[in-house]
Amino acid sequence: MAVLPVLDSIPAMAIRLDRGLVCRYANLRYALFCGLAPEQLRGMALPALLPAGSDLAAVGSQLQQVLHGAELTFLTAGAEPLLEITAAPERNACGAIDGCTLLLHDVSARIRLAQLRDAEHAVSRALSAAGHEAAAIACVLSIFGERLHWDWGACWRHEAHSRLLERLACWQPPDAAPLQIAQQRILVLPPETDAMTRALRLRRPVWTGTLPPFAAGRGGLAGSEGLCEMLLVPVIAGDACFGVLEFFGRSRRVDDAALLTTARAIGEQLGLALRRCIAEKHRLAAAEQLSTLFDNVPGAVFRLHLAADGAYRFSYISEHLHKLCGVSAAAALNDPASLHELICPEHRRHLRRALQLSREQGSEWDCEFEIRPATARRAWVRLRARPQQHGEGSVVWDGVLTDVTDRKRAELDLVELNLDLEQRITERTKDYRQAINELGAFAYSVSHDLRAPLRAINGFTRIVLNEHGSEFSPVVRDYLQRVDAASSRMGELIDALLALSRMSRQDLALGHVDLSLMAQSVADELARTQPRSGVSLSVQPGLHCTADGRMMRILLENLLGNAWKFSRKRAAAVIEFGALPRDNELVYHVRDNGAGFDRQYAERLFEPFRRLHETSEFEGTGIGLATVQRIVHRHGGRIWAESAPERGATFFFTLATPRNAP
Amino acid sequence: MNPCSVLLVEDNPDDESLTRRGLRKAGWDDAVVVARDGAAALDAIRDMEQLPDLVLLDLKLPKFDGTEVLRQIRGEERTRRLCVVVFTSSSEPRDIERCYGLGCNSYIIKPVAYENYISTVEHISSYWLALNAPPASRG
Repeated sequence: MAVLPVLDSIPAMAIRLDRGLVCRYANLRYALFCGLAPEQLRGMALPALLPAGSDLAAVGSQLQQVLHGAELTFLTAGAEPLLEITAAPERNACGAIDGCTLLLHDVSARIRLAQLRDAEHAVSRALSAAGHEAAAIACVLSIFGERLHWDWGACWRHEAHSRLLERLACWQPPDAAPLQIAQQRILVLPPETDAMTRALRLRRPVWTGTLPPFAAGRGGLAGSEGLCEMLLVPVIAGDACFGVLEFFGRSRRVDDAALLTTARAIGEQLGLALRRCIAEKHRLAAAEQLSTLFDNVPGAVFRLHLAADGAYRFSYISEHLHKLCGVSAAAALNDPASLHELICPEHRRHLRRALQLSREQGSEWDCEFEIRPATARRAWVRLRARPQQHGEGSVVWDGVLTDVTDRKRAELDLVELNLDLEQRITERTKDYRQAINELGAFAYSVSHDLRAPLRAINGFTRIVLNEHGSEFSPVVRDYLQRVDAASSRMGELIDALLALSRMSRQDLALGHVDLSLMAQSVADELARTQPRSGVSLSVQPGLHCTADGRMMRILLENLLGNAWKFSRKRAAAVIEFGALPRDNELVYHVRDNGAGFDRQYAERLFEPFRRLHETSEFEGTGIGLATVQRIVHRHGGRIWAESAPERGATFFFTLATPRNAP
Repeated sequence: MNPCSVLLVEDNPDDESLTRRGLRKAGWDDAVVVARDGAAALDAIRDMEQLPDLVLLDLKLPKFDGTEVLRQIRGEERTRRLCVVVFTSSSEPRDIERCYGLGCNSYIIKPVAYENYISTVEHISSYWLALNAPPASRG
């Protein structure tokens, strides 16, 4: 038969079966595949011919169809190696089917590869849909476990430099009996020789096909449960390693590079997915944190978009808005006009103007306005936002709305208070002016009405004395002279009192005053009207000020006059007028070496009609220093004196540059 | 000689008496007419055929006061050249300014001391009646 040498030489395994599916012939390749001699195979039934564990029923039913004339190609199932069988009927000389010829190919490797590819693609698809870490891990374990017929899968988390591994998830085929290894949830990183440690260290998958039962470690535990193979896949993303995937199986598969390549790819895919999930989680956490932050800001944070055509919308408003004006952030995002309607109509223009200004100049949008919410109380709101140009004339403001009601109320109260105060000042000023006018009327009547009777007393007393003196006794004449002297003195008092009142009422006529020149002129006048020898009066040259010249003259006349008067008992009187700077102001002084006064009276020196000396000792009205003090005060200055009895006196005074002197 | 050389407008008899003494001392007391208030002063001037050489005018007067008298004197054509010396107790700058503003010839404050008073009246009369009187008015 010429056919048999042909079957022996084709690059395929071939057998011929009779109608009872008993081997009539097997070629050499098939004999080698089975590990027997071709002669030994002859006469063997189908179950003995196929690899143990193959699904014989399926093959048998296929071959029955072939014996009925069909030509078929099909795969064996159930156990490796998997065979692709192409079968054709064999006919005898009469054309009747008396057997079949089978060409067989070992497609285990190809099928496995396809399975691996499928698994890889399925994992890839599932990972892209997985929203979080747990889902990603679960889908990898179940897809890889189911498709590649593992009996156990787990994912262990391992952090760099940690000696512990934590089980994140595990998988078993549905309805499988629970395994002891499932009890372990935390592992101490095994020694270097262990597959898990090797996988982590080498950063590539490790496969072991023989698990020694009763050996140490997790592999030994699995082995004692009847599991015989183990695959450890590091979960890697770039430089980062999240942990390791662990698979145990009962069926012994061929150690091939394709498994490790796929495992590696799946480990990397999971690693990337986990990294993405973690990044997403961080991003969400950051967004959440930001949102929490915005919600905790004591004000409503917002982002407002204004298009070139004037349309506006919010892309973000924090929840604080509700507290501020009773409108929820969601409502404002949906309907920005609802916020605009809360603003008091009279403040809307102001707000728009401020917005326009900010838009044109790129400056901060800063304004305050009042809102009238339907539900909440009326409130003042301050808006502050920074603009950013976003092209095509659109502008985006990021800003914050804060409740400034309390401050605003305080401000308004203050304005009211100020108005009230101003009114009260106006009233007081009116009262004050009235008092001054009354004082003026009083002074007028003093000067006019009091002086007239005084003039009569004085005049007629003098007439009596001058023209009728001889008619009276010396005693009567003495009395009349006393009346005369008393009335003269009263006239002087009235004049002094008038001068004092005039100092208070008269407006200041400010001008440049040469105090040195004025003091010298007063000194010359004193020397002329009250001539005395042995007086040395010195005036510091170059003292100028801005003041009322007439008042300054009265001041100098009084102070120099006092010095002149109270030093007259000195054989060598020394009087000095000058000024020295002290604490940023010029302090003027009039010094004498005269009678002086007791320090305890220094304060009361300036009261009207206050005299520290007997009238008989030093004449005077007692009003001079009161007038001087009034003049100094009118010029916004201070006056004080230092002295000791019989040690001379020094009067100091300052003159502020008067602005709004009363 | 003018039958009225001096019109003394003075409500206070004491002051009138003292002023008369001064005028007498200066030799002008024989032609003094006294008016007790502002209205009387204006009536007296209106009734006089010949105007006085000097009006000595107190300020504080019954009816209307000295400044009003001065204003009316200066307001009428017949009397506006009259020599009016305000002679008063008031030393208020306001009064002084007002009177000079209305056109008084001089403003003299009445001294309290008798000798001063007398000599002041003497000086006034000798200055305004003897030195400054226009020759034409002395009939």
